[in-house]
Amino acid sequence: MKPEHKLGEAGTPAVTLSELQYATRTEVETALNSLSDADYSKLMMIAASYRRQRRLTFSACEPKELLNQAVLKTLECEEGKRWNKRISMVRHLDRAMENISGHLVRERMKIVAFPDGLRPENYELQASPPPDEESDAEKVSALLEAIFAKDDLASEVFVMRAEGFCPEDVQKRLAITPQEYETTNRRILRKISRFITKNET
Amino acid sequence: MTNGRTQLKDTDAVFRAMREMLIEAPAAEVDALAREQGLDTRKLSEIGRSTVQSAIAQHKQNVAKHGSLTLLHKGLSSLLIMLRRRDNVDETELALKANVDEAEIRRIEFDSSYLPSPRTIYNLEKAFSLPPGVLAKLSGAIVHHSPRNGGTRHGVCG
Repeated sequence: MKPEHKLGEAGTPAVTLSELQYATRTEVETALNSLSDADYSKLMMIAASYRRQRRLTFSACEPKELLNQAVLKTLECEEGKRWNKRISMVRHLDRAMENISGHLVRERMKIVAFPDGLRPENYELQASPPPDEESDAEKVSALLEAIFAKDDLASEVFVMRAEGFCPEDVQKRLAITPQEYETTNRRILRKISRFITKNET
Repeated sequence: MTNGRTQLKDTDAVFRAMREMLIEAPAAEVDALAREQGLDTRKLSEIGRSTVQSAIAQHKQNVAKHGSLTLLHKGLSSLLIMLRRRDNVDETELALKANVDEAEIRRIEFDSSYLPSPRTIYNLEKAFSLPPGVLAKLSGAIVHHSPRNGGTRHGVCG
């Protein structure tokens, strides 16, 4: 939906509240220049995670290239890609990278033309891959196993947090102390960054 | 193992949750944890910083290039209108004389972002008996760098 534009008393366009929450190009640049070292590390890990998630080869999607594209799109301030100042710049760039990497995957999945005039039905019969019988649940389990290995508590805390449980609820349901919860969280972060950056740096 | 496992509906949700936790992690923690496992965070953040800075520089270059092209195109459109008035021809007559589409002439005159084809520029120069390259420079088809800035001159006019 397009943002509303109302006329002010003197007939001049009045800027609406929804318009004010979007940053100008200068504000975007200032925010980018104020990112901390930890923010840059996070952004590089996030970029690497998209490459892993989308199963893209390093040559097809280099993490720094993905981050570069996200920053460029944000600076261009195009409709739909503008930075809403109510969310952090890191989170905005995360969403921009999600969008760009998704677009990259769709581009790569486009079917090429049939140069020898084969009919699509024939092509499908000959070349369609066997149906993927591995269910989503199994894939999720395998991925969690790859990240957390035998650390069941870390895996359970991670899943509950992903489902939106607050720390108190997680502690109550898993019968763990706040200290145990904190150390588990630290372990989760360690395992996540290890999983994401494996073979990246 | 847990009920939760089956509730994360796909692997995308797992990756999303991982990123959420990374984003929310306190700065000091990210640094300490990465160092703990032998990850060179300084190298990682340096790559991130230089990537962001090069994107900012790239964007500035794009804006400057677009700005100077728009200025050149405005010059081209003004010159075209003046030349038509000098020779007392309207758009239709000029289109016939230069063997160029009439709509393209209108577009050059009114749309400062429009880049006419090299053929159109060449035909217009001939129609107005201009020295070769005058309109091409204004259209941005020929880029001239002074020797101080690298001394290169490239023409894409064919």
